[in-house]
Amino acid sequence: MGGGNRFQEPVRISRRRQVRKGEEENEVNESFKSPNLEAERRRREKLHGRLMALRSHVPIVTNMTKASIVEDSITYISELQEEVVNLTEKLHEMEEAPLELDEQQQTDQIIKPEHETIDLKEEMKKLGIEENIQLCKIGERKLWLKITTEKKPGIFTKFMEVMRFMGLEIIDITLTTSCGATLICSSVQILQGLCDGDSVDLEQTKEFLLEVMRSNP
Amino acid sequence: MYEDSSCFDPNPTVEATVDNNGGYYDSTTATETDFTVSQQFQPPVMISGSTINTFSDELKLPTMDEFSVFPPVVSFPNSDSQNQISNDNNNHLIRQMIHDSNWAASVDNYGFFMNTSDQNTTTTPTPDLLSLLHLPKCSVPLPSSNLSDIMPGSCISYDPLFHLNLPPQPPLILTADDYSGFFLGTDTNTTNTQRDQHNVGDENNNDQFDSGIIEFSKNIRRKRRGKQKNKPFTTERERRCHLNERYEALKLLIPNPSKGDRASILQDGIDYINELRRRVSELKFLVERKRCGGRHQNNNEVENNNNLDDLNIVDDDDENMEKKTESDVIDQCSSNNTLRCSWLQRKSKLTEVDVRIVDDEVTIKVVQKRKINCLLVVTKVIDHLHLDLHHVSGGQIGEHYSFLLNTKINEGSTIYASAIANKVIEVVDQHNMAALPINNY
Repeated sequence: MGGGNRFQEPVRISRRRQVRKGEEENEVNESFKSPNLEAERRRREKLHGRLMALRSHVPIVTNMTKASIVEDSITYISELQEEVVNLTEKLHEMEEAPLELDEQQQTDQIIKPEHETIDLKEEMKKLGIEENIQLCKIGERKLWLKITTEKKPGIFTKFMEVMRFMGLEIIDITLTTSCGATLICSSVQILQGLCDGDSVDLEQTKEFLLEVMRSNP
Repeated sequence: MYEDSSCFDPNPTVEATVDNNGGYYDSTTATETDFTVSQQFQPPVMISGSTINTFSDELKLPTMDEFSVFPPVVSFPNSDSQNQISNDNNNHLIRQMIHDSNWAASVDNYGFFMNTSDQNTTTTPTPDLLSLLHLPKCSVPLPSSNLSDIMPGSCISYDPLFHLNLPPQPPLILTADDYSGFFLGTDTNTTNTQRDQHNVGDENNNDQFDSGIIEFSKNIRRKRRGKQKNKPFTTERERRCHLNERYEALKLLIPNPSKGDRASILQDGIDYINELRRRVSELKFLVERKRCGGRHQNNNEVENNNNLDDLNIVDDDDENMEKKTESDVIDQCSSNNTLRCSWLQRKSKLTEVDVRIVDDEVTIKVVQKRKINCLLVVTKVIDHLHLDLHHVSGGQIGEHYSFLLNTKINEGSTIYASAIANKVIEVVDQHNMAALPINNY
């Protein structure tokens, strides 16, 4: 039948969509000329899902309407922000206040770091770790270096300063500390325009590095 | 939302105009149509909800006598391309109907014609028009009382169409939720309250009809006028505006909203709430520890002070039970058996910073989207914050720099995650701003 044939087409088109309620519905949907009906539906569901998720995070409940969900979350966020500010202030106050009480403790703490560094050095010696710098060329403008040194606060900063000073760009770097020693492995690239790859004097660089590492800030 | 098709069929209409202008089409041809017969007729859906949504609030529907809906006619041009109905014929039909029926039609807005002429005159043309749209009999039970009220005489033969003529009656024909919104011009996300309104209004149909005017606004005022008064908004527009304002306000609260659309705002809101909660719990922990730790250390020997590891606090408490007299302080400290943990992310245009703290170990991850070496400034910041650097690894990955730093918090320091993250990203961004113009040369 002609009518039957005509029915085929909407069904065929609707197969691409989720056939929910029969062909008539899809046909009428197409009659509404909304080619992205499914997209719109998904968008709505996504929005609704997110709204519910937001609702589940917020303990304030006034109404279940969309507007009130958003409004409640606004109130809650403001509350949380206030609380963060208050707690931060409190923490800062507390940080300054106990200084009077813990003077004894303060002096003890100052003493402690020195103890620690002495211990670290001894530990290094115990394990036979020696200060060491290795430097070699691995490419036209690339160097590889390995530094074993004492673990000191701020040593890495010093190292980075030296790198910058010498015009070496870090390709990759690894730093580890163990038993009072620091190990730095890095491959660096010589920045263009500073000096020719060949003219880099490895020995000189090594000595310079060693000197820097040993120096105290 | 749309049940099996209505009883009408566009095809016979077209042929009707061609063959028999205003004549009654015989049923045989009707059966050859695409639509199955004897199913619920839901023409309002055909009107297309989007058009209904644009109804103005002031629109008043005419009485049932005046009201003639010919959605099938109007929808013909829009739909059924797959049914191979020529639009020309439909348009012709529509124009004819317009002429015939003396309608003050607002076709643009509604998509169906509203008959605003007198009550008396409209009844006569409508039967003819209805006859054009010959529809097979519909099996849906009709409220016969309304039939007698509205369309006397020959109208009974046009049973199916009375659905069309009874807009406040959708609940009777209603099977799907979506459909309920259409007459009232709401979108498919109608709330239950509105549906209730329909139902309530349905019962009072006769009253409405008799009153002669049906308010076709977003909040159809039915018997439930009291409920409507409870709502703060009288128009859908106001409600929409208010909702949009709320979204904007939420967007303002959130730092660095990425996109402007509602779904993203909600997602950012969720993430921000989670972050704020973590920060609050971290700060609370620190405050508590500071408070406990201060009193704790006052009474103890130096060796015990240095061990702030939470796992050991319980042991210390045991040892110090004899020395301490403040048992309540002990209780507070021992309640801090959980490890301190926090996690934060900060993103800027070129940089991403991820800070995770577990107990006293801080892991900082920095990803730079440009080849600007920021490691020096980062290490300076770390020194400044009194963090003990234990491990660093990273380097260039394509066009990006990525570094992972493992540090330890020095004892006694009450640094918290957000401070670290904020400081790091601030310094890195400054460095980038300074470095970028140079790179561009």
